[in-house]
Amino acid sequence: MNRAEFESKLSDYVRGELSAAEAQQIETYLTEHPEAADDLEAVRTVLELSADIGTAEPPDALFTAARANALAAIRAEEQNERKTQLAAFWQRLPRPVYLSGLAAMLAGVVFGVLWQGTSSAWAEVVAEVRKLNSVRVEGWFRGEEGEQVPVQQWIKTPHFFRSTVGTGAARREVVVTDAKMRIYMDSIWYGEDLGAEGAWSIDKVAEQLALPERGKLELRSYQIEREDRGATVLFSIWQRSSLGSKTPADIRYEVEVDAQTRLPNHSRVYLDVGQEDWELVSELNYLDYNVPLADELFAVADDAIQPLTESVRNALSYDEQFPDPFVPWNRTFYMPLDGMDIIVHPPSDDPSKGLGGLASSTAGEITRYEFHRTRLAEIARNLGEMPVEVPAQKLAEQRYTTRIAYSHRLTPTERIQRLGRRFGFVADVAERQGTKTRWIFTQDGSEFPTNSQAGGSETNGYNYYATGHPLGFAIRGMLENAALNDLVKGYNEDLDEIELQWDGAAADNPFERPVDIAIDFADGWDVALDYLREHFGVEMKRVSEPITYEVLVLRPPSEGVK
Amino acid sequence: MRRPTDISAEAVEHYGRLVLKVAYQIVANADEAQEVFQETFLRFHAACVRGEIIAHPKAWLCRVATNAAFKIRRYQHRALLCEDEDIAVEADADKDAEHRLLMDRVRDLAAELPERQRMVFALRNFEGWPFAEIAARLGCSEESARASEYKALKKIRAHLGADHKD
Repeated sequence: MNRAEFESKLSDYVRGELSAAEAQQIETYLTEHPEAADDLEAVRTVLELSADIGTAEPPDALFTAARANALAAIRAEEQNERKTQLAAFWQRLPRPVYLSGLAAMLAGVVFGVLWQGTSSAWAEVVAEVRKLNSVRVEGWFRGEEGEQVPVQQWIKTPHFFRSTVGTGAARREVVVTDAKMRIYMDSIWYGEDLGAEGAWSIDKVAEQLALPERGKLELRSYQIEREDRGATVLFSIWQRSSLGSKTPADIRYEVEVDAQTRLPNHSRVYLDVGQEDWELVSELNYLDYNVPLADELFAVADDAIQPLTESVRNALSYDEQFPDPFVPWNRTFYMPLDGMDIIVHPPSDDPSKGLGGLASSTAGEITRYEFHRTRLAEIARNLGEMPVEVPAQKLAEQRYTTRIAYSHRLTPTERIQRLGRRFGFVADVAERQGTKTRWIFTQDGSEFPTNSQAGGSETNGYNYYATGHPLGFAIRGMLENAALNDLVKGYNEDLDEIELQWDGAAADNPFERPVDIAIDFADGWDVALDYLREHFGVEMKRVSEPITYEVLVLRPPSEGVK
Repeated sequence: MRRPTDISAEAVEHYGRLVLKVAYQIVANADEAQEVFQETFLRFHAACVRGEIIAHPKAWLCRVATNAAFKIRRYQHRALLCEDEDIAVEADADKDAEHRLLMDRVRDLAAELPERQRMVFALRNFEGWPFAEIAARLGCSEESARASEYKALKKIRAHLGADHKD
């Protein structure tokens, strides 16, 4: 046995995992090389300590909490993405497209939430809804500019649904008959088959009422109150956000139910705008129960329908918002600020254990944040859009639960100033010295194989495989994964930039071309660079420069500037 | 096509206990272990959202969790050194406390190891992975994995010794 073999097997020897023959070889080596006893002692000492570490089991309760928090965070991420997509969609397309989807869901808002009371009274309401043949809904909800946007809905058994939103050129419609959906926007009808699963029906509404999707609901909590008013019963529901029961309620629903027929008459939706002030954002009346509705009301001429393309579908966030009018849980209401620039809910100190989190959404020119057990620096970083330092330990460690909405009229600095007044800090912008590196990729103009067959990408951090991925996308993925695993030194995700330089026509941009990638760079980022050069004519250079960047320094008001 | 959220939720169910164990053993603190847990699965979710197919989720999750946990460990360790250099001396009256302290030192020293040594050390000794599996997941030979572990053990022991002398 030579030295290398000895080192290679020594730890297994200490663990008692070698065969008798192999163990004998180790012992012989130790006898022949007395100095190796130090190695044995070293390995044994560390392995004994490591074995104790390896037997440490987290308590079951910890797993339960971690699991619940992680699932909530993942779903909050999903919700954020969806809301971000919706916000982006709003900026690209006329508003009423989304409003029609929202309108289509409002009836479900009140039905679904009410079920949370699980009262026998509500069970009766569900049973009555199940018996319906048709209903007409009429009302409004608040638009982006604070205006009341009219909405009408018609619902009829077995599979008919129509919703119109807005008027004139801004009118948008959603029509669902059997398993077909039609969407009207910008004077064009788009259509798509939903499949049997997507077919709309009053039974489906009742299902939603009786068996709301727990997986979606569990992230929010509700406080429900019931008030008997003689001829009617008023249900008030306060909905808390996805960040847990400690967050304040931000949406309130009121549903007035006829005490005799046990069917809803009227519903209102309120949004909390701060200081215990609730803004009415929607009002619907439920009319004409079981009044016959003609099939023609739901007819759309087939020859007028254009297929719903992928791009239109993406722009509409179609899958989540339209096919199922009665799943209301993921949607955005406008936060009317009514001339105010920012609303900061009173922050509550939260000394409880557990993870923090934040969620944000943007609708129109207003961004809303919900922070749950979040450190002040993180709150300030999000509002101030720059790195934050909090030298005072107490201030730095304090966690808060709050909600904030602000208009994009405010600059980040102005937001921080307003935040400071409420949270009790003052902020200074300080300069720091650092290094910013531009990771610049260029392509030499040579041709390379492309693959327009869309696939996916795969990585374990040390490699990158992709099929039909844009070259630039893949390069970013490779670099970020390599950096994640310390294979690239000096990459600062806060300060550095990845640049894909191309001076030619946009249509010829090599970084936009879909390619196949198969590279293992476990031995270092240089391997990836060689691969990019050889296969795609891509070179990388780094340009570092000392920079002075700004940070926000938060401190208690009593402290002097440091 | 399955939604990224469903894939991520399934990963939480299948690998959650393993990831939590990895995190807990390294950071030795419930709150921080939860943070590692969440960060790991949010990264997993982000990868799914980007359309990446993670062929070996167990290995991927273990690696990310291990890296994240050691990162916290490094941060804690350095912060502690700045605050109180004498903490080891103060605690040595109690045998159990000393043992716990030594275990913490092993964690801290492991956190400072080079990437591959750190990963091999943690997967082999905390998680009990065989060298063959470690080698396959890290994309190296089994001999290379063994050599990495040996170097890691020697380095940790050398620094443990130095601490005792202090």
